[in-house]
Amino acid sequence: MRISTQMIQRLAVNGIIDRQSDLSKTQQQLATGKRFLTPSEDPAGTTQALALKQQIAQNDQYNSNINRLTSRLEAEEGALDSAGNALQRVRELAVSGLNATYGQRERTAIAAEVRQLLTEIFNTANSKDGAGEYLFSGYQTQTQPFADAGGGTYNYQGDQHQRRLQISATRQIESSDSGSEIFENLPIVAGGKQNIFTTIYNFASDLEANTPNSDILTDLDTALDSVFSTRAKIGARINAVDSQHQINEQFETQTKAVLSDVEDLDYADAVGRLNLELAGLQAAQQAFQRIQNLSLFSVL
Amino acid sequence: MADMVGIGVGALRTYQRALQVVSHNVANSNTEGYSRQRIELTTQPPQFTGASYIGSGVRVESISRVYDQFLVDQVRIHSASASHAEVYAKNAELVDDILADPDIGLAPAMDDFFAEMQAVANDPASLPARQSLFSQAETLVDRFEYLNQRFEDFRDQLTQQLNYSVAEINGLANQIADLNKTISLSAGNGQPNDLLDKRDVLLNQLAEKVSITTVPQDNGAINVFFGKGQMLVFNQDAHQLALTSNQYDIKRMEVSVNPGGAGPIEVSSQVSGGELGALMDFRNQVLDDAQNSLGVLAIGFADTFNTQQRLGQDLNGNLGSNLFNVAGLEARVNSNNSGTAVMGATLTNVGQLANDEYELSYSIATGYTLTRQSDGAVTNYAAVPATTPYGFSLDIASGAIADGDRFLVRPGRRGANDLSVNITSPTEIAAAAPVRTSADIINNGGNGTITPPVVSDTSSLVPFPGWGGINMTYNAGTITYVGAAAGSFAYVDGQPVTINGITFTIDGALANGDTFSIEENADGVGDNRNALLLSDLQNQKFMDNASASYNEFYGALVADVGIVTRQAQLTERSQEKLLEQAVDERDSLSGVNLDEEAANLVKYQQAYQASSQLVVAANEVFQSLLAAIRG
Repeated sequence: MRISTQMIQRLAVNGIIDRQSDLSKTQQQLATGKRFLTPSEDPAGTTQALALKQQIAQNDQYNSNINRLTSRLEAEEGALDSAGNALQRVRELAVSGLNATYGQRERTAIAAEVRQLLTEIFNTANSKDGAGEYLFSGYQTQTQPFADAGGGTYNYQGDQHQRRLQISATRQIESSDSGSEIFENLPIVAGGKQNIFTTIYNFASDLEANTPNSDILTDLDTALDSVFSTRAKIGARINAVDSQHQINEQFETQTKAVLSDVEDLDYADAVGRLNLELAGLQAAQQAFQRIQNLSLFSVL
Repeated sequence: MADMVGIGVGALRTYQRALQVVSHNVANSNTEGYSRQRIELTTQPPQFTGASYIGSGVRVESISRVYDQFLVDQVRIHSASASHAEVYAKNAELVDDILADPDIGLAPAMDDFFAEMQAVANDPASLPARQSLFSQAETLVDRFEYLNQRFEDFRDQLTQQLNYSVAEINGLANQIADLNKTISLSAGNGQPNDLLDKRDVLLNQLAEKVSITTVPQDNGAINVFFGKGQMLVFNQDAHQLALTSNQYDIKRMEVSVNPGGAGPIEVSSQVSGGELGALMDFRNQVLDDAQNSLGVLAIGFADTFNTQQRLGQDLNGNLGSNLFNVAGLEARVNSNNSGTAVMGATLTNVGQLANDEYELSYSIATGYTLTRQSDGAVTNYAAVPATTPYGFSLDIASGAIADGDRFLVRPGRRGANDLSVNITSPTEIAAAAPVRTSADIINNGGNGTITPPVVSDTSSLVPFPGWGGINMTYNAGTITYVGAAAGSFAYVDGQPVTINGITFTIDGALANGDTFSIEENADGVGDNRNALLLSDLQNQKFMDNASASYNEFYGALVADVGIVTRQAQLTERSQEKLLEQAVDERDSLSGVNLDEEAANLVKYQQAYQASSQLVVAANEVFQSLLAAIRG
């Protein structure tokens, strides 16, 4: 084939430009550590990376939900522990108060302590979490759960609902318990249901009147059961949340590994390619230089 | 002797010409489109001497260019394709680049928005959490608007490029017409090689702007056509292209011609190949689709979010109002309409909304015809279509329609631009559900419990706040309810019941006289039921016929642009190679090879020197004759 002088020039220059463009791409990859920089370089990979990043972001959020949930559950746990302890003490006092050898004076003294404990339990039922929200009022977290209407009447002002938090794409866990369920939904020996505050108030009044009723022991046991079983439920939730946390962490590790496979550069491969491309560019440049020197005019 | 001098001088003159041709070739070895020229030598007519013919020297027969019309045509055809591929790929890469940038892409802003939504679900009463969500909603809206603005910038640039392109085409057409004139005047006195080369170069440059076909004329002129036989150059006259506004969109420029001055005729759809064709294709295939998709996503996201937000109750105890403003879908009026009707398009189904465009035409005889622009699918209607399979309804917003009127519906076009945050305070985020339930646990004899209600319709919650609530009483297998709604239903343990859009379930063994109630969720500031549902929207598949989540829909948009760009780049590369080959083949024949010219130089130089020796020899012969005579 006949070759024109321009063709020789063009061929050499195009060869150099092509190699420079390959080299520049590899250089960019090495500089960013990414296999592709624009969607066009790997449309499928880009879409996959978008989906994976969303999963990772969601998973991060689930873990931060878990932290919030754990702190709430721990606050509840603490409140219920102190309510349980106070109830235990009331029960001990009740046993003493029911002692047949005690008279009016001793019983009045016991009643004073019982009333103190009642205040403590009442305050515990109205306790707040770190964010200033009432723990036991259902959805109405800025409404005090129990109000003291005086004369042994206590009203529950919250509702019967539990807030739930999302801890995985498919799982929600209760982050609160209704005070009504724990402190109010308590059958009493006398029949019907009565909140624990009224029960204790009435018992204190009975002590002061020197007419304690032994039903109080059963009623206190019912209340203790209620507190402890709620406490156990919270413990179970904390366990569930902990194990979900581990699952989430595992998921995150796996997803990040997949994402890395999709979008991160294989450095060994890229460095190898870089060397090849550098050698190719040098060869092209040298070939150009040598062919340029060849001209019949220069020997005439 | 005289003959010898004549032959020598003739040869000298001839080789002078030959050396001139070599010089011309060497001088033009780098001139674009230059075809090397070749001198053809021939013998002078012989003289008859009575006994035989005797030669009388050499002369130039012709100076011709080494040229093959087929090879030149191939270069021109491939120039059009290569330039089309290059311009198309360059423009597609711009869109590809902005979608790739994680700092300005939509996906991270969307992820952050839903993360803040979950933070509100964690602490629905927390104002800082709500404020963060509110700010993130504004960021997300900004992101939509920013991307949309980039698309609008591309449109402005495109209009400018179209202007340049058309101006260049007109300039080239003028130059070709001028050359046609010069060439046809000089025809007959041998080929004007350099002018022909020059015209080929201009034709090639024209082909880089738009695909053309050429028809050579007997007088040496070349007529140039584009599209479906649209005349660009006819003999010595050039026709001009112009940009005119689209009938539906004054800012959208179309290519038109104006033959005979009877008014412009739009020929955009006929333009193919070259820069101009690439710009049109990029606008129709990449830009419109991508911008429409972005808008569809904005509309779909905002509408589905608003729907759930309206089912909730905000921190002030009011029913949720739209979190985002979504403007009406775009429906444009054709500038040639004789009626005054303005068409309104309203979203009816997010899933059916696509990035397509639709033309509605009206004729008294056949009624309304809706044509999908991507594939020409046609649906006919007797009246203005209140329902369409495309997720929107149409109505005449004002004015009167006339026979032949046409409208263009572009549902997604303004979606991203018109998106804005509607609520003014973070307290208006509806994290709670508007109602709650309760069992009278103190007095109920049975152990029945009632689940938190799920609200699917708030239309019966009036007034709100101040809704009366519903009280239910169980008796002998039936629950009777009174209050804001009255009625009864048979009690089935664990079976969901819906009253006025409120769904709940009662479980357990009930005793006669047990009561349950549904009430307004007053003070329910810690309720996050609706916030959880709002967060979950991220995982729901609302888009694209309920097959894609927001993220997946956006992913598809990015992938579509990525695939188109990749294909364009591959086409660019292969077209470049094809053009290179065509140019090589042409150059192989027509290009100057300096070594060859050097050899010719030596050859003609030697012949020239030899010829001059002829004159010297003739002189010497003559001198010796003179000396003999002088004796």
